[in-house]
Amino acid sequence: MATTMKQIDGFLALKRIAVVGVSRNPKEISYTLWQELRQRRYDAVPVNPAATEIDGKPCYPSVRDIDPPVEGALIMTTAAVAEQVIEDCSTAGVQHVWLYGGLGGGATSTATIAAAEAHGLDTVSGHCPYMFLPGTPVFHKMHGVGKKLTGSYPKAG
Amino acid sequence: MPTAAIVYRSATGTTRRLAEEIGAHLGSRGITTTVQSVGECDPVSLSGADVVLLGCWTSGLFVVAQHPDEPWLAFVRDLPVLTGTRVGLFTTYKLATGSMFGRMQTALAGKADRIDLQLKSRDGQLSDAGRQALDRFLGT
Repeated sequence: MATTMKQIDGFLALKRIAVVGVSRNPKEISYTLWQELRQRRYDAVPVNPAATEIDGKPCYPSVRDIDPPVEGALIMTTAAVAEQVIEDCSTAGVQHVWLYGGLGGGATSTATIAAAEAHGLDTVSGHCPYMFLPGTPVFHKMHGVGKKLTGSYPKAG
Repeated sequence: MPTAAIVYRSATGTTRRLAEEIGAHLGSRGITTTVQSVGECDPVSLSGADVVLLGCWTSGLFVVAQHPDEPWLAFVRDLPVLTGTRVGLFTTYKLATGSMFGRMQTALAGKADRIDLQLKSRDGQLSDAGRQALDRFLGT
């Protein structure tokens, strides 16, 4: 099912969000997006099984390990890894997931969308949160404009 | 001992680097300094600080309409009136700062008695001129 603006607005209205697949490399999009969410006053919790802390913040190996639990999860892994993350979200009672759509599809695939829907998760798929953040930089606005021109921008729903 | 709070809004990490370099310089002058992003800092906590330095990356269309972005503006809206606090501004930019400092000052109208420092850097590094400007600002 196509993602709607209502779903996106609903996800961005959450306060405590896991960012799954945060890199320790400041040049990576997963790191900059995690920082962006933190600077916008989200309680953004990093998840990366290869790290115990990032920038001095505790980093969790799995969504299942986060205590207190998060309300939603932004999944920035490959689609292959995302399938397990979706399972973890379901186990942890996380009802909202965002399958980040990066180059090559990111966490979005037919299989991950089907898995999220099978678990009954409210799922945003195939978009970048930067496009929808208030006052986002021009580059990200242009990304949104491009999607509108190609008809792939989310509908109001 | 004087205290300083440095609060930054960084989109790519460049302004954060400048904030950290400013913090290190102030620390070298014996000033107890905190460096936080706009997402980490409680605006109310700045009330009573001796020195507050507020930084934001320069957003705009190459060389026109430069402005601080929404997360920085939202932080400033929540600031208390900084009575008796010395306030300075800093930014990072690619081509020009243009109206950036003017818009930052406009956003701070009524929040700060006066703004005594405007510091800018292209790459997030604190230059010797920047260090000297900070020393003049601090009176050290």
